[in-house]
Parts: sequence; structure tokens; C-alpha cells
Amino acid sequence: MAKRERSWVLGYFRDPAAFQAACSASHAAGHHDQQAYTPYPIHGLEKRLGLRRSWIGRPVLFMLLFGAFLGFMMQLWMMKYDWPLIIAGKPFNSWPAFVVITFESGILLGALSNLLICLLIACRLLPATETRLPSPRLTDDTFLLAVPADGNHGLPALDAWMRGQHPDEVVQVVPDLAAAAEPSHA
Amino acid sequence: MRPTLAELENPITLIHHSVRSRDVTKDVTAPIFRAPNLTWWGGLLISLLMLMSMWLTFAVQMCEGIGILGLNKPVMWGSYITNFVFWIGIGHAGTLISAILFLFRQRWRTSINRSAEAMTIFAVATAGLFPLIHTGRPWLDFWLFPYPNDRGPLWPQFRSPLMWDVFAISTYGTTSVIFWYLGLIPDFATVRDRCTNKFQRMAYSLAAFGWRGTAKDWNHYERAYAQFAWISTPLVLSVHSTVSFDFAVAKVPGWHTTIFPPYFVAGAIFGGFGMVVFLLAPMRSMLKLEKYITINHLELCNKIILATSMIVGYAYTMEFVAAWFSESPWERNQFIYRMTGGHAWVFWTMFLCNVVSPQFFWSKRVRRSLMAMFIISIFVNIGMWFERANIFMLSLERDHITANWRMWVGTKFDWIVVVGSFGWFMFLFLLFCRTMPTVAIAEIKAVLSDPAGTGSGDHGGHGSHGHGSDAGKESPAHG
Repeated sequence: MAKRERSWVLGYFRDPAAFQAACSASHAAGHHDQQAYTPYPIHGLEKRLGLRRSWIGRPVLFMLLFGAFLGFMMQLWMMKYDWPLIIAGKPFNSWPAFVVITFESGILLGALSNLLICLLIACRLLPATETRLPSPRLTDDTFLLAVPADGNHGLPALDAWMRGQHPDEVVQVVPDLAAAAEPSHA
Repeated sequence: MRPTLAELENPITLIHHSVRSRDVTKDVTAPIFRAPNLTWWGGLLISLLMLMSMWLTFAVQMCEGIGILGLNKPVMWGSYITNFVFWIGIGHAGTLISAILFLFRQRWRTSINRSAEAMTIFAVATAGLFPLIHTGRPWLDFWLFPYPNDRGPLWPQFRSPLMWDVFAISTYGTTSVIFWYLGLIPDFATVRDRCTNKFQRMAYSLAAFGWRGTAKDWNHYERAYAQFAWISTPLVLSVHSTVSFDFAVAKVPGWHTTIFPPYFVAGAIFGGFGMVVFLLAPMRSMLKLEKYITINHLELCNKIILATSMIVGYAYTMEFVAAWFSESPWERNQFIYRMTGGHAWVFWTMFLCNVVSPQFFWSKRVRRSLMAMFIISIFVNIGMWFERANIFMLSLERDHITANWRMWVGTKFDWIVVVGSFGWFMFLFLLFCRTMPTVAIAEIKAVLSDPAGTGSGDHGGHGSHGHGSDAGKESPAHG
């Protein structure tokens, strides 16, 4: 998560209420690129952090409609143009009979693109044989707010700010000293 | 003071207020790391024997031909299509729980959605065997799909409902699997971070798709999950409608009615919830998940069984009214035959199991008794199988050509496959119980009343009236 060249202050929280308050405070304090890790979804957290609503709705809707279009055109082309057969005296373009497969093709492409757009493009995730989080507790019951130091927010100031948010534990991650960073209890 | 089991499985809130986030992690992942118990091994052995006998029958069928089954004029659709429609129907409850209850913000679904979705996938996997094997030459099943071929190219016949089925079932299977997988990703990450074995950790890492759980990831993930619910809702209603077109489009007496799509969907949800109760009542004690899959959850499933039982009961009655109203002697004869003919026991088994036996659920004591609901769920499953048999076989036995009229008589191979399909389904479900989180860990943490044990939670706040049935409509957290 952390870009190597930056220093970070990590605040671990057990209490979701304190964590959410800290996220709001971090956004209000004007921090940039802060990362919030949660073991389960917290509704409205993206608003507290100033994130925009996910954009994946429209592309998925487009793919769904495109799938339906492809499905219909496939049937029309095969049944009317490529190899027309008279079946039960029906017209070659017997579109009501094509509705079900049109619908299913739309659903299929919509569902597949929903999964792939979400994971690969929006979240930029890839399956890996090794994924290390800052702490394994982050998929259990602990929340993490990680704030990077920058020109406006120095490391000591951020550390003091983080302690003011009442986390259970504060950790500083400094590029060269990353391995030596000792947890200090607030 | 530690709460007793009776308190844990009858909570006033959705889940007992003493349950913390870390308890969920520990309890749900425990079966993955624990050596399986004797119940599991016993179940696996029995289901393995059942499914092996089914595969053996398929092998015999490939050598001898489809004639080993009880198919003959005029009943050319016998036990295989009955199994197919029965199992596709079973799958519907899972999608209903995962998609439709999500859209209605029913937070109680979080305890049962994972296992119900697994049930859907295994039911579709079971159902899918039958159209593939019934062709007699399953190695040529790819002919079902349109692909550029050297026969013209000659294309499938898209005006046939059987072709619609190919697309509906394969889309349903695919969509169910990826919806289920999306839900599993954060939970695979939880398992990954608990693994001590290197290879286990690698496997769960791959399955978790590099999941980190940052606010940005959750933001997209929650949107995608909601979109899946929107995509799956029309899908689940359409799949069994499409299956019913196989029959409703044909002119066989008893099939050619417009009531079929809703009738089939209601029956599917009814049978599916029967299977949910049948699986979850033993599973929760086998995996020690009583505090997550509480009696309240099972009671809500039983209420749905009762409601859908009355819908199918209404449909059965309406079929008779429609036959009488049609003035068609064929239709009228068909329904008199169903009630009084040589296979009347099929009809009455269906009626007793599907319409009469769920009526016991009017009693709250029965709805909350594990033994009673388990027995009724078995009746529901039997009833649903015979409902399909009643529609397909009995109609074909009395078609429009009186000279053809004859009864369907199943051979031993028919019945081995019926039993074996349950073995195949149970086998897959038992493997799932050992290798994947059977309860949606991340979703259930979001509905705990006091996840961190800070005491700041809203004890008894939601759902304190009733048993969690209408809990959480006001809550911001997704269920």
C-alpha cells in the first residue's frame, strides 16, 4: 500500500466509531492520499474520506446493453441472412422468439464485465500467491487509517494528530527505517 | 457472564449482542482449519457411493444407449427432465436470498446467503448434467452452442424453447458462480490471513484476488455487489420461466397454459427454501454455527415455505379451473386422469407434501423446532420432485392420440440416477463446508450490534420487535 519513498503514520483502531471519526477528521484536516483499511464494508466511509461514488455503473450498463444487442444480431444474422430456414411458416426475422436469448446475452456480458471491471480496472487487483497487509488483523476486527507525510503535514505533526484521534496503536513507517519501526502505544 | 447456547440461537437482535467481529472470524474459519468430524466423513462416504452409482449408470447408458431408461411412446421425456427441472428449481432460493432479499434490505440474509448461493451453484451443476447426458451422445454436446462449423455452417434453431434453455441455464450458472465468487473475495482474504500452512496460504491468496479491503476497494465492491443483485433479480425470475416454456409452448394437454412461468418460479422458490432448511438445520450444528444461523433465521425460511406453499396450492387449483373452463375434452380428461388415473398417487403425493405438510408451519412451535422443520423440508423436497413428475410424465401419458396412451414405468436405472443426483449435490456441498467460509464473514460483521465490544453498540436497538424479520430496514449498513 505505502509508496516506498514516503513516510506514513498508521493508526490502528478497534472501535469503528473512533475510526470513522478519524477518517472524517483526516479529510477535514486536508490530508491527501490517506488509505483506510476495513475488515468489512462501512457504509458512507467513502463520503467521510471524500471519495467519489464508484463509477462502474455506466460501463456495466453499456456492456449489458451491448451484450443484448450482440445476442439479437447473432440470431437475426444466423436465422435470416446466413442460413434462412422456414420453420413452422414463421418469418425469418421472428423477433419475439429471439427475446429470451437477447435477454440472456445481455445478462451474461453485463455480469462478466461487472466482475472484471470492478476487480481489474476499478480496484486494480490481480490474483497473487502472496498478499501481505500491514497487519493480518485488518481482515479480522481492526481498522487502519494510514496518512502519508507531505510538505504540509510533517511526520511529527501527523503523529501527534493521529494520537489525538484515540487509536489503539500508532506506528510510523519511515522509508529507511521501515523495518525498525516500533509500535508505540497511545 | 457467557451466554448459553439457547440465548445465542434465540437472540433478540439479528445476532446475539455478545458476538464480536473477531468471534465471527474465528468461528467461521474454524471448520477450514479443523480436522473434519465423523458426521462429515459419514456424509461424504454416503454421498460418494450415491454419486458413483449415478456415474456408473451414465457409463452403462453410453454403452447400451438411452433405451436403458423407462422411455417409450408416448412418454419420451421421463425422469431426466424431471430431475433437471427439479434441480434448477432448487437453485432459485439461493439467488432469491442473495439478490432479491438484498434489494429489499433484508439484513437477516447475511447469515444464510453464502450457503444458499453455494446450494444454487451445486443445484445448477446437478441440473446441468441431465440435458447434457440425455442427448445420448454427450461428447457432441457442443453442438448445442452456435459456433462456426463445417456443416454449412449450420446454426442452432433459435426459435425453439429448448435452445432458449441452453442459454438461460448456462447464463444462470455463470452469473451465479461469479456473484458468489465476488461475495467470497473478502472472506477468502480473511482466511488467507489466518493460514499458517504455506500452500494453503498461497491457494487462498490466489482465490482472494489480492484483496486489501481499502475504502476505495470497498467503494467499488459494494457498487458491483448491488449491481449483481440488480442483474440477478430479473435473471432468477426468467430462468424458470424459460424452463416452463419448454412445456407451455407445446400443445400437450396440461402443458399449454399461460400460468406456467409464475407457477414454475413459485414452485422453484418453495422447493429451494425446502432445500435451504434441509441443508442448514444439520450444517449449523455440524460446523458449530448456531449463533449465526439462528432459529430466527430458520423460522423466516419456514415462513417463506408456508407462503410459497399456498402460492403453488393456488396454482394447482387454478390448473383444474382452467381445464374445466377450457371446454377442451383433452384438458379435462388430463386433469381427471391426474387425480384418479393409474398414477394418481404421484398427484396425491405432490399435493400432500407441497400443500398440506407446510400447513404445520402456522404453529410457531413447529416453525422453531429443528426436528419438525427438517422433516417437513424432506416432505417438501419429495413433493417438488413429484410435482415435476406429475406435470411432465402424466401429461405425456394422456396426449392427443388415444391409441398411444400408455403409462411411464421407470427402470432401476431411472431411480439410481434420481438418488445419485442427490449424492452428487451433497458431495459438492460437503466439500464446500470444509474449504470455504460458509457464512459471509464481512457481511455479518457489518450487521453486528456491537462489533468491537466497546459497549457503544445499539443493543436490542433493531429488530427487538419480531425476530429480526424487519430488522435493519432503517439501518445504513448493507446486508
